[in-house]
Amino acid sequence: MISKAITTVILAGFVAGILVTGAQMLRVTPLILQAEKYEVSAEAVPHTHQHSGITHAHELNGVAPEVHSVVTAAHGSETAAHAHDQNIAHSHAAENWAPADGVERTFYTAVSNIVTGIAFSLMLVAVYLLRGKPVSMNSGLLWGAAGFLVFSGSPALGLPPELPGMTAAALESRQAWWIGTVIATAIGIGLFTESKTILPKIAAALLLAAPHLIGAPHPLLFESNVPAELSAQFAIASLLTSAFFWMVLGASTGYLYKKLVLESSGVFLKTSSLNPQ
Amino acid sequence: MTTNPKITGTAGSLDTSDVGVSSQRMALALLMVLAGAALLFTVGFAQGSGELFHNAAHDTRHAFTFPCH
Repeated sequence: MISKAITTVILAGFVAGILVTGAQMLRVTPLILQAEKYEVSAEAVPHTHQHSGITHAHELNGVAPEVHSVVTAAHGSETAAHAHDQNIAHSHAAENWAPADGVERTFYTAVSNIVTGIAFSLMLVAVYLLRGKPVSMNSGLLWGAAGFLVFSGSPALGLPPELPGMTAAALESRQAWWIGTVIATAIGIGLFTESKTILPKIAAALLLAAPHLIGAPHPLLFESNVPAELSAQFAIASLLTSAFFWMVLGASTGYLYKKLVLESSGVFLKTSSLNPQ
Repeated sequence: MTTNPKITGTAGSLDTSDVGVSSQRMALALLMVLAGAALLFTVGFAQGSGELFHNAAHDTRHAFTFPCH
């Protein structure tokens, strides 16, 4: 039975990963490649701010050092945050391996998409196992929608999909907020759907809102060379592509779980509800 | 009942060991969540030596709205 659950996970993750790779090639990947042209200076530029007199080095995302150095008020007041930012600012240094553009890059993206598909598929099938109730293609689709809200929708409300070259707050703080939001949203949705009384549902609603009441970390200054139109197109394209991915993943996990795990096994799960008397 | 006697039979015989079955189910679910989280960390968050993971999964991170840069 365990092997059938794992087959469900791997098949569904593989299908969703492959299909989303194709879907990304329509809008998402071309927009990423286009934005990378604006990612001019990925090198740390040492410079001194005129007013605060602080000297430091970090990525300027192509913004001229003179322009950047003038903006000091915000910089000076948040030196600590900024110094932190500086440490993690990474440059695509020449010695670091990266897949070559073209087939190689698409291949690694496809592999990453499949791994992502299997990771999310593990989460969905874990939910089916925990609930121990019948699942079908249609109800799987709804669980896929929940997965989209947990892993894409809610985090994107605070941290919109980023293109290369866009400015954002320190990576660690954004990753921490992202993880916190995912956990709060997942527990919130679970509490809402599994509880039968009103109080837990109100608590669930508060949990869903909490990350957004706290607020996502944002940069003090938005310095970006990427045109706003590109960012807007990317936000829509990546979210809708993710929604497509979750629909495929939800429907395929639901279908395979019903066929492989539920219908072929009376041992692992109680099957009385599948057997109308 | 008559449509699928095999399944009904097994389910009936299981009534006494329900607790064992459900704890096995829970354990599997928990392992799956942990495995999923580990995979997700590798694809979405880890930088790796020489930013290996970051560069390999770069476009996936952007497309799935993981915080990337």
